Amino acid sequence: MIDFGLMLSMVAVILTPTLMGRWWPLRRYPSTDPSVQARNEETVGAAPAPQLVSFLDLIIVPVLVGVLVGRLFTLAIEDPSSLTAVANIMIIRSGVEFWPGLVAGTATLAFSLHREASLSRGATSLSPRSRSVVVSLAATGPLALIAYAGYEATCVFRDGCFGPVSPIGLRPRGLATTMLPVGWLVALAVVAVAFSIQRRNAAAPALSESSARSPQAHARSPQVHAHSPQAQAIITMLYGVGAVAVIRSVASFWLPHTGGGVTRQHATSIGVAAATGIVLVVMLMLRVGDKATRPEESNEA
Amino acid sequence: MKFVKSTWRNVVLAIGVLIGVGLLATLALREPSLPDFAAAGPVQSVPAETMAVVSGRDLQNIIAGLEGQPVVVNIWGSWCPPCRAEMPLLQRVAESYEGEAVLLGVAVRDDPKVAARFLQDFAITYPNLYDPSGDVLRALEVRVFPTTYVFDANGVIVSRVDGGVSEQRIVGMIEDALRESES
Repeated sequence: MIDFGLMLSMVAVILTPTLMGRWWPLRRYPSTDPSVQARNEETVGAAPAPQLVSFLDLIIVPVLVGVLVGRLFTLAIEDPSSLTAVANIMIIRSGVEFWPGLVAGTATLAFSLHREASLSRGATSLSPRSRSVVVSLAATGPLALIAYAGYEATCVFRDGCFGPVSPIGLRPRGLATTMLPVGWLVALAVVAVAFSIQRRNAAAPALSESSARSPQAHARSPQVHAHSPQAQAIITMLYGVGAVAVIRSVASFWLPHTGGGVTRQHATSIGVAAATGIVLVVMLMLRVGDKATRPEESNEA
Repeated sequence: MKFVKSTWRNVVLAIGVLIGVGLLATLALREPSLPDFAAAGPVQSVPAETMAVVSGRDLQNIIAGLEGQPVVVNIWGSWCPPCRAEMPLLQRVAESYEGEAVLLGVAVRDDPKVAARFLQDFAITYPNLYDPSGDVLRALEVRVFPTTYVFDANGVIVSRVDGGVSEQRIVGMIEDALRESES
């Protein structure tokens, strides 16, 4: 049986970031380092002009890998004997573990960015100022969040947008009561996170095109600039992952589920939210430590 | 000239995408039709024996015997991958709503021994029946496997799900039927 709702969600996952990419374009930056340019025949003598990157080309394989790994995790937990049957693996409607899928998708994207950089001998990056894969990954964050929001927003076509019973809301197919569409609330919250990360990226020297041309632009973003580009990127990604984990944790309370306790997906989201929160706090404390030592360093200088 | 060509191409592409999305949305939002099937006839209790043979009429009588609480009927086959995928969920649902709602499985187009082993593999404890003739399939107008029906406390079908059912949907349907029976 063809799941038209799931197909429509996949269309949304592709279309929403593609459209949003018109406002938040991703660019591939050739290296301005003459020694790198000299090693790379393709860029020798060429002006280091950034090229537009299709987000769809970047994420299509990571999304497929993420869905497959997420599905395999669900089967490994619920029905390990099905792992050998392709037909059982294909029924992704029966459950895909979100976090293992996200980790697998991110790892695949990191691998493809690293491979691309290796093939071009480190000549290109999604960041104007850093060749780091982590920095390139952070650059894709806002559009990836928009894609996820597109998936959540199309719950109405997939299985119905469920949530707590409410006089205002939607009536899922086959039900007599209206419910607050939690999927839509999740989508809105994720879009808000995507906008805040995009703002943060725009202010970050490693990800801002203007700062690549004018290093003095660092001064405009003193908070973000306190860290190295890699640390900035890690903080940005932790913030995005942590925010999604918190949103999913809160949403899970409202979604119908069996039993009175928390679901497995819910427990995992709470765990991820706690872990990212702790790491973020540690990193921010280290930054405070850096700031505290900085005057002494300047005195010594 | 080049600009005009590119604009036309974008317009045609946008219209194509809109038509495609509209078509998918229409297909996705179709409400499945409910069969003309309800609890009826002499009251019959749920057979204690696993994989007891039933006809469509027997199933109506069994549901009549369960009036007063919502009943979920799941039509499945051990050969059907989506049926296999949703079995752990159905067991959780049966345990979760014990005493409030009843879950009944009906195996069809299956070998009863293979189906019984299938139930053992998943440690299924809720009652499961067997329809060797396909009479239940015809009575419930089953089009795909699995199909899940929810009967309200009066034994009337209130909703159906063609294909695999999600946790949110099945819990939502049962809670809905429970709310309706309380009101």
